[in-house]
Amino acid sequence: MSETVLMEEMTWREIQEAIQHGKDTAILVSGSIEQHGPHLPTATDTIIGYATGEAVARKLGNALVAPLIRPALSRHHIDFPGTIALRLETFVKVLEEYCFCLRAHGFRKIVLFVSHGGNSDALRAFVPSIAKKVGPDLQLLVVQSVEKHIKAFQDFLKTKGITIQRAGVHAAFSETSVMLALRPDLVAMDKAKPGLTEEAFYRPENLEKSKIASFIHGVKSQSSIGVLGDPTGSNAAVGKEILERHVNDIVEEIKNNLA
Amino acid sequence: MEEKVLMEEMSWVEIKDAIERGKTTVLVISGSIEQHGPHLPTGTDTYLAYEVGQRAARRLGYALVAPVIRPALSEHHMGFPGSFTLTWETYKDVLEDYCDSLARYGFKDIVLMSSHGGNNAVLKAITPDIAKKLYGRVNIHLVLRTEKGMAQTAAFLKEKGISPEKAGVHSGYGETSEMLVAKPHLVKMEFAEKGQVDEALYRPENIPRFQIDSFIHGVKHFSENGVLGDPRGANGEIGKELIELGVNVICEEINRAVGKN
Repeated sequence: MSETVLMEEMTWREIQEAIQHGKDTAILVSGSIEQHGPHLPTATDTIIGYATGEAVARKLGNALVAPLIRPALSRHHIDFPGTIALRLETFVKVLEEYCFCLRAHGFRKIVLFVSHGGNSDALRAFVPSIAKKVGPDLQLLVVQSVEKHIKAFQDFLKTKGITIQRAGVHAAFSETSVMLALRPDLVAMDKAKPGLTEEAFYRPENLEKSKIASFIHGVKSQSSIGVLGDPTGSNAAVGKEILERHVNDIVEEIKNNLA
Repeated sequence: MEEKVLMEEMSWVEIKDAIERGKTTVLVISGSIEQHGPHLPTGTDTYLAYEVGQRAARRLGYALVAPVIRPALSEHHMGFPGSFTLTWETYKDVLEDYCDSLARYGFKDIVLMSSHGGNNAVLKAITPDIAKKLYGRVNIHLVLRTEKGMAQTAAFLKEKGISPEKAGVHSGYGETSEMLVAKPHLVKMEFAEKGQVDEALYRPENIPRFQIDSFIHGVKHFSENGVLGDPRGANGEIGKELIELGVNVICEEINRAVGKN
């Protein structure tokens, strides 16, 4: 195992030296603390977010990972115990204060992405005004919209014979497989059950409408167990590949957009 | 396999069942992401919060641990790379959002705690307002390190031949020994250096002044390497006893706060 790229595991001198040696990019992932069905822990998005951030930073070679932002925007899961939701205003302030801290330490670029779909629109909406406030010394880049990510794993899982309603968007085959690859000790496959498996809900052209319905009525109205999709039969090897593909997509997008 | 008490490792069904079976108290601990000298990681306060929170919750038998709040208030460490701070207004918003979320699930008591001294004064100042907002939904309590607890710790260390200026208040002998228990693989003893060891600063009667001065001037003004104390020779056996001492006092205080005895 090469040395850590997670800032919270490093000493201040290690971080200072890394920045001085050209690691001028900070990876800032927004995760969540929210219900993930009867079989996954509430930190699921946080665990996947750290793993994604870490792999992206290693591939880039010039980046460190900031402590992941969590809790975040999970109001639509608040009917399930264990979910912690920030107000939109709080989340945006936290995001902004992180960026000012990173600027103070000499980072020149911040790459932002989400490991929880519910944060995606807020990043898109508010990062431009944060970028304006922190000024020209710091370049902010938002990558991998949640729509792009869902489309990518839907297409990949289709090649494995997994339908879009089984792949799901929350605590289903896709996410559960990734968790089996990362933290099998926290996955209770004996408790995994299908949730909402109506095909139309997951069609790419309907996802925006489905998401707004989740926000308005709460996920509980769509699935009483909190699962959007079907986690049964999830597979660690497939999960590993989903994660690798996601990391590659993010790295490619960063390389195309950052000088 | 010990019982799970960290909410983030549990599913919503496990959390619901635990609350229904009597775990009606939740510990909300504020940690930090801030420099901890050349030998400890910036996540130190957060790791120690999880260590103490988990032990306390298991001991109490009626409590779960919420995800530790971090970053929090570390403005005085911002002179060192890797430190993160929230403004106190944002910190209060985060705390309120935590409590508003947790008040929905059947918890009777939320216990606010801190593993980072820099949070304490603000926590003390804002808790009444938060408690008022949540009144009728859940009881909010604040349990901070007591003078009695700090005196016990100082007496224990003195008995082991460790002076207050060596024990320190930040990344010194005390905290480093505790980290040797909580996250030994993240402690780099080969880089442990002496920091600020002026005996007068660590006298109990001078600590409040020292704290205010470090807020005004920044910790860097008092210690170039970020250490307040002297971590050399830190020892996991002593760390274990320090953690246990801390957990004992905290559990006593929590029991009193929620009226368990």
